[in-house]
Amino acid sequence: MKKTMKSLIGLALLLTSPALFAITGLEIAQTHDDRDKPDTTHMALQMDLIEANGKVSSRLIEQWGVEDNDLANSIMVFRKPASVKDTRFLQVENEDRDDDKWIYLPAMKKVRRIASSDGSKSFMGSDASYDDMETRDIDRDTHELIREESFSTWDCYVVKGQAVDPSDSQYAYRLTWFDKETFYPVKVEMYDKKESLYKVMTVKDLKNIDTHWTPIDTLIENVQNGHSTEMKVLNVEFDKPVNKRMFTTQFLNTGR
Amino acid sequence: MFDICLSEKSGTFLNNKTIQAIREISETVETFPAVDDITSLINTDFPDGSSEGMSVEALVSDDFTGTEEEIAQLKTNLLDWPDMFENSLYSKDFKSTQILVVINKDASHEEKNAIYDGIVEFTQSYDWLEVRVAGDPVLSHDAEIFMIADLTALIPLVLLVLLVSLYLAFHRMGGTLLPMITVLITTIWTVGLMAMFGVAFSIVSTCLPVLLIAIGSAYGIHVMTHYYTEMRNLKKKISREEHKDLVISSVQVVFKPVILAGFTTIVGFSSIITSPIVPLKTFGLFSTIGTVIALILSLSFIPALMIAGFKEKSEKKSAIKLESKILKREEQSHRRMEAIYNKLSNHTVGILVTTALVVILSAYGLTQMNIESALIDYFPKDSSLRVNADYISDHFAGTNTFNVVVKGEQPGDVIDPRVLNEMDKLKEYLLENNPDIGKIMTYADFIKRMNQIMNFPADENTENFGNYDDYESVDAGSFFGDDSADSGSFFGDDDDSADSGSFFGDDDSNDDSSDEELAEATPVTFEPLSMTDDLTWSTLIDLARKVVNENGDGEFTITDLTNEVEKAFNVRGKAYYEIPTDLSKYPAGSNEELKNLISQYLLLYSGSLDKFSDDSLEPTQVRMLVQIKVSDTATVAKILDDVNSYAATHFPENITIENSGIAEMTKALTDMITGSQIKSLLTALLAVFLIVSIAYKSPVAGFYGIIPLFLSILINFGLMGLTGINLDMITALIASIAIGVGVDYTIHFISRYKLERLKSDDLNLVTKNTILSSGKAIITNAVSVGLGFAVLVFSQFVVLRYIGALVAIIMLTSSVAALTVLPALLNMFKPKFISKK
Repeated sequence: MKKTMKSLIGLALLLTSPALFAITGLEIAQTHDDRDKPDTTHMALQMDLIEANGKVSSRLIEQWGVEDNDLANSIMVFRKPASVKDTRFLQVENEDRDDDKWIYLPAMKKVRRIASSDGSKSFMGSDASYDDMETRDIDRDTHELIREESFSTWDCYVVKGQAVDPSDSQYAYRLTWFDKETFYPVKVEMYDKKESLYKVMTVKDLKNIDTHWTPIDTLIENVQNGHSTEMKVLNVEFDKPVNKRMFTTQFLNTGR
Repeated sequence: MFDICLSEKSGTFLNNKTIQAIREISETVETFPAVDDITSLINTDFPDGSSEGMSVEALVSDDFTGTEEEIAQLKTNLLDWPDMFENSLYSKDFKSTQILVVINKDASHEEKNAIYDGIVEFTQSYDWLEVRVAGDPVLSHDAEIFMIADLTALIPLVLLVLLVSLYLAFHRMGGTLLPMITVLITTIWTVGLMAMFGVAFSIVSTCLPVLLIAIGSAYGIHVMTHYYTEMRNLKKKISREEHKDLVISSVQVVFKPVILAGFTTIVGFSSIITSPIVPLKTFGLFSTIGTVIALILSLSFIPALMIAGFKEKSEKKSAIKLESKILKREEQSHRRMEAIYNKLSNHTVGILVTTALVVILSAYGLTQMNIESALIDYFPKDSSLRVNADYISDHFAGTNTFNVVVKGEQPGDVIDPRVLNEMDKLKEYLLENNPDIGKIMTYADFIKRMNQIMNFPADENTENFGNYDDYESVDAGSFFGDDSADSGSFFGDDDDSADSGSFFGDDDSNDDSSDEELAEATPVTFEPLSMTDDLTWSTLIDLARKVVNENGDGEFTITDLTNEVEKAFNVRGKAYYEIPTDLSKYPAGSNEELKNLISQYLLLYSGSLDKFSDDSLEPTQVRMLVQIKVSDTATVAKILDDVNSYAATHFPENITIENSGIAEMTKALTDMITGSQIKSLLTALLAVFLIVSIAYKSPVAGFYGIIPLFLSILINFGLMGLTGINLDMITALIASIAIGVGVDYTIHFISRYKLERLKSDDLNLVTKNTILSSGKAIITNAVSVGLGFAVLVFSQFVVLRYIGALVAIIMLTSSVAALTVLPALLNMFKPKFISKK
């Protein structure tokens, strides 16, 4: 069963496989997975798509998420640029089947369901794939602590995560740098099926907001084509009431 | 790119065994690091629609087991989007499928060969399939094999030819072996230098050893001939010291003519260095270097060996024996030359008239000449390479490709529906006017597909998700102000029904106004027939008439009619397989909003269009890939012209069109060949003119000097035109070789004629003496060079066979022209330079 994307902040953690402490990779991943997560999220995000030649195009996205019985629902509304303004994306996590996804295209004035079992596709033009956006259940991967080293300002455990069933992942394996103090993943290297480095995700700024560690600025680079995506959290609220009506297709259709 | 074509020996490739084989091949090929991308049945997406929305799934899923239903569904899906899949993933008879393997630009030759060998070896076990592999790497792989075969077979052969002709000319060990050793050293040094400087061996350079052996021997022959003449004139036994002086003096005598002959040859070859085409430039450079080496060795190494190898005792006996033999032969050839002269004399007018006729015929031939530069034409038609490529071109879209790049000024310019619509119409226009185009895939095809699958007819029973009515109106408070959901949005004010509080203030008045525009959108008046409607006869007749009208010649198939009916009912969204431009069909108020619709499609579909655009959301460039079944330049040139003329009249001003790709490159190369041919031809002719003018201190002499050359080159091009031999990168060399070697005969003839002319005023006697004395040397030289080149007729490459035959013919025509046309003209116009002291 796939766990849904919870929120875009989740991106960083979602890219990672979970936890350990002082000893095994699994424990590191588990500790990260067991952290206290907010019941609701509300974020303003800036997504910068950076081409290999340095050209940047930005998008502003607003996102709301709730967690209900361990299942996450989220809605994303594109604010900018004008060409995609009011495009709305609803994702609903299910217990024992693929996530449900709907999109509302304002120029079409229609809600359409999106079905795709291939999670390796780019998420909305970014360098993150749909799969990168979800949390992987810890038991889908093996977790091996391979070394300890510092990255940026963090002292880290480096954990190698490999899918138990190789066809269950678009990657051969991932290396995740967990901050020893917060158990928050601050860097992830993703290796393609030929085992060459494909993407690198690095957290440039990690903040504790209302007791929740939140990557405020995250960069995902595709090292094979030079394209990269920077996600910046412009504003965030946790555990504020969010109207559940927002997670319906009718809201998607009307925005009300 | 590799093009792996799998053909079922019987039946269709749509069976589990073959599909698993495709998977195995794809997975194996993928493991090579130099492989960038693979397109095959098993890793292609199928964007599909439904009443509820869209899906993008793999055409063949990972858990495909080949049940009857799966196979049937796969076929249905393939047929559902012919613009993308037909003649690319399946041949129309469903016997063959393709796997396209894109190789990294920086991959080495060895890496490509390893991949090719891997493919060939790996696919051997599929005995129910016929496997054909084509593509550039196969071309260079096979070229390499051909080149090695050529070098190992032709070099011994040309050495044998040289050995025989040297023996026939001299009947002596020294005369046979010394020039031979010289050319061997020359060839080894030259090829060694190429290797030292890391110059790649190309098809062109394959004929370099043959050329050096055939031409380089001439200088040694001159030296040896003169030496033997001097030796024969000696009546007594000589000492080692006297022999040494004799060698030196005979070298001194031949020094000037040999240097002059060598110099003109060098001029001919070095004219090729002006070519912009790298293999030709390299060939020009190293043939020049080789000639210089041969020249230096002939004038230093040969005399040195002659001096060192002198044996006082044995010399006398054999010399007498030989002398009588040689005298006999000399007499024979003298009589032969006399007979030739007798036939030619008094036919001055006849010679000139024949020449004029040949010139006219050749000029006509010249106009028929076809200029090509497709590498594949160098291979014989029956080579497996050509056979495979032809099969693939016949069954698929063709391996000769180019891109039409549609470029805007600003990001997003090209996704204007008007531009995309023109792109789509350009495709139709090209297909209608160019039957050799196998397939065109465009960026617009994806947008059309996206538009189609997002507009599948709605199912009336579609259920909403979520208990919308159970909740109070949304007050989300957006971060962005203008949100109508009052959810406290980050993006705006809180006047919405969803109060969630936005983070974004109501700062975007532009967006508000566009909202209002949206509200005033043109009402959607287009309404497809519903499946519950009956199809009346009158509707059917209307549809049939529409089909007839759209197919101007009145020919249409039942498929056309079916399509039209399906469009009317919007079966599987077919009414929307188009670029959205019609405002009455879409809920948009302006073209700008239709453009936004495309942006929104791209947001959803992004990432899948990488190969056809430079940016997934706001492209500045989008592509269209034209695949052509033939490789000839005329066809490509016509298509390129069509593209440019259509673009000039149909695309908006801010849009520019560029062509790129193999076919376009071939066309550019072809233009380059013509240009470089003319340039090197003129350079060489001018150089020969100057050399001869200076040597005889008269520009008139220079003019006479280039006449036989001009004639033989014209005949060469005429022959090529008449026999359909293409002027290409390699046959373009012939003219330069002709000048470099052919001019020697003219120089020999003129210098001897001038010598004789000073002795006598009787022109007939002068001519006779000239032909008798220089004729033999000219003919011997021409025959040995001609035969040397003729060895190339046994080459694996068609183009080198042509070179062999054509150079041999040029040796014949330029020597005959020197012996016939030149005296005829000299006798007729009596130029002053020839009788001057």
